[in-house]
Amino acid sequence: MIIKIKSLGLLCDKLPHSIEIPVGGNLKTFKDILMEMTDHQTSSKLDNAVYIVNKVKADNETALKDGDEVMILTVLGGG
Amino acid sequence: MLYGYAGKMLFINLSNSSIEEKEVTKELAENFIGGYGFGAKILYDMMPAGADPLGPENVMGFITGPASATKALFGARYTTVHKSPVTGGWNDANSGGYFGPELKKAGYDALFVNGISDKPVYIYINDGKVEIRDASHLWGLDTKKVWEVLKEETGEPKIRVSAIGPAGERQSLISCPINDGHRAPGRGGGGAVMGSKKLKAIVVRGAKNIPVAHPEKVLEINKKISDFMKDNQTAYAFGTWGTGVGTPASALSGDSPVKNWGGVGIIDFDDEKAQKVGAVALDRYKTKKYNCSSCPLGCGAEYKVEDGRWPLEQTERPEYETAAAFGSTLLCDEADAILKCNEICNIFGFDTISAGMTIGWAMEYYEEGILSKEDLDGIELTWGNGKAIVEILQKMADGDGCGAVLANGSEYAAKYWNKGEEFLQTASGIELPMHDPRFAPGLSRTYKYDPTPGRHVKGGLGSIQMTDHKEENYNYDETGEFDFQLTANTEIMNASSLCYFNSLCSPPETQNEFISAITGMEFNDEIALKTGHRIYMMRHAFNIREGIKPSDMEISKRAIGDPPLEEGPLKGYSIDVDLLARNFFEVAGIDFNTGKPYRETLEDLGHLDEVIKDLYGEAELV
Repeated sequence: MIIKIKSLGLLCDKLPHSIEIPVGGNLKTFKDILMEMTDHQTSSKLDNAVYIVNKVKADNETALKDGDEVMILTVLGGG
Repeated sequence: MLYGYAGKMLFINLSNSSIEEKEVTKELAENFIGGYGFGAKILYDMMPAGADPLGPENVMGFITGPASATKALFGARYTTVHKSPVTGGWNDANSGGYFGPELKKAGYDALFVNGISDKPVYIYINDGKVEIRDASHLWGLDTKKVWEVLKEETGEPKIRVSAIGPAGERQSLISCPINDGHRAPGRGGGGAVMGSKKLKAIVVRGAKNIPVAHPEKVLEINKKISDFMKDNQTAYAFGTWGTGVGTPASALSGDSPVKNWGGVGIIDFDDEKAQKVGAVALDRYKTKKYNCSSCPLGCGAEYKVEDGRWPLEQTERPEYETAAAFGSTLLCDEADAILKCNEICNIFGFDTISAGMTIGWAMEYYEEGILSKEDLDGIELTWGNGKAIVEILQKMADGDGCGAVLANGSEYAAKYWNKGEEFLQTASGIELPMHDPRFAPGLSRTYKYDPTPGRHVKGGLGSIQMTDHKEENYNYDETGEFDFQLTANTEIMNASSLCYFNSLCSPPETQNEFISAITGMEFNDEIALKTGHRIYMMRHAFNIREGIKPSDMEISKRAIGDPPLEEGPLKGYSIDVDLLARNFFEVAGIDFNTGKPYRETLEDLGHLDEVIKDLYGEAELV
């Protein structure tokens, strides 16, 4: 199933606009597949990001369905 | 020879126009480094307890550190210090640009000003020659205009200027000096202090070479940093878009305050709104990049705005704090309004955080029906109303009507109108900055209890929790040691003149390496921790002498989740700020209840004899 990605913050232009994950997958599945596609530094940032799924804060157990949008928020310190 | 320093400090008393130079001693340099390390030591020695912050006994310092003007990358910062007219206690604030290095090249590591002039003046320092010049003709000019006039008047097109605008002249408690047209040591009322002294500006020009102990080592460290930054995503993001690249993510994650700290980003300020005010969107106005002196990153930019309601021929990219203070805090997604507010603050000389937050307080009160339209001179200050926000800020800038009240900040306004205190979002009177402790709980301890309350750039646990948000951050067991180490490390960063972004975009060891290479001093982690501890203690001691104890320090309830939010990413979080503080003070060697540092801690740190004498009495000294 296709999961749309909106990336804001540090990785705003580093991630694909969508990825495909197995039907029945959850946020952890999504993160694992996405991290496989990225370098170590990006993976580390993805690990510390805040995830919002369909406008609600998500955790690893959050179930995903085809067409869901995952917002990945990488907060920058300082400023 | 003292490496890394110009070697001299300047002391000017505007009451009697006296100008005096003093040497930077090896003892001062080794034990207090520079920046507010110097500032805290000097002000503690110079000022009596109980000095009126807007009176002649208040001393305002402008201080550089060893990294400044020495080719060290990220070495552009300088610090202002003074007693705050808001808190009545210690104040330091930090700025970038080119002013700090130029002051040092003009021959002085620091300038300290006390007294009050009987007419407006500016201080002109040109390659060691110091003059107090009449500024009557400059009074009333904005900070950009005054820079242009002074270039003409001095015949020196390359001068650097730190100046107050009309807000500081009127002694607005949220005013600040502005250097290089748009950089500011914003917090704590420094503009009011300068205004009270009738000190319009400090003007500097210099060409002095600052001696460096191991210049080849400095270049090696620079190369290490440059190589590191090539693949560093934080450096890439900040260097491309500045700190405003984080505005949307912060608004939606819970990092930013929303709706005067009472709202939730994804509900009240959704991604469509948030992205409108992020730097990726705003950079459509960018004309060129701006780097501070010796900065490899360049988080700034110049803008030209030709559309919208307030075209601006030449302005600057708003920094994250500004974009959030006038954006999510006010539910405003109108980019033109935010850009205009940034410009007003820069030219009139306001702290953008306090200005935005003061408007947010007034906005909530208006929406609650407590402040009336008449109270606000007919302005309908509704959530997200960009036109009203600009109108009210302009009134604050002009000192006009309700603006004259609001120009002194939210706490002053609440007392003046005798309403609204329960919704202030402050720490000891200082409007809170744009990072929420409910998102990064360590910030609560820093905001409430640091000698300068309400600051997001004073290190501590919060500084790393902002970018590493996780459940274990809400566990307050044994937080003291690490919280203190991070704080002490930041004391060194601020004393050395290194930019905060060196800590985010460079290998961590480079801070100590720079200090060693520049000064020739041994400066390892152990020495850094002790020196940072000493500097922190000096700032804290200033407050204790003023009678400010931890139990006197306050923070707004919303900031610590009292009560917790009922929806959104930060639903249910409450922060045990006092437990975090107790853990911290235990390691710092300070009694939490009285605020008094333990004598053995002061003796172990050394070079704090005056503090020991004041706290424990002369008779007890051996």
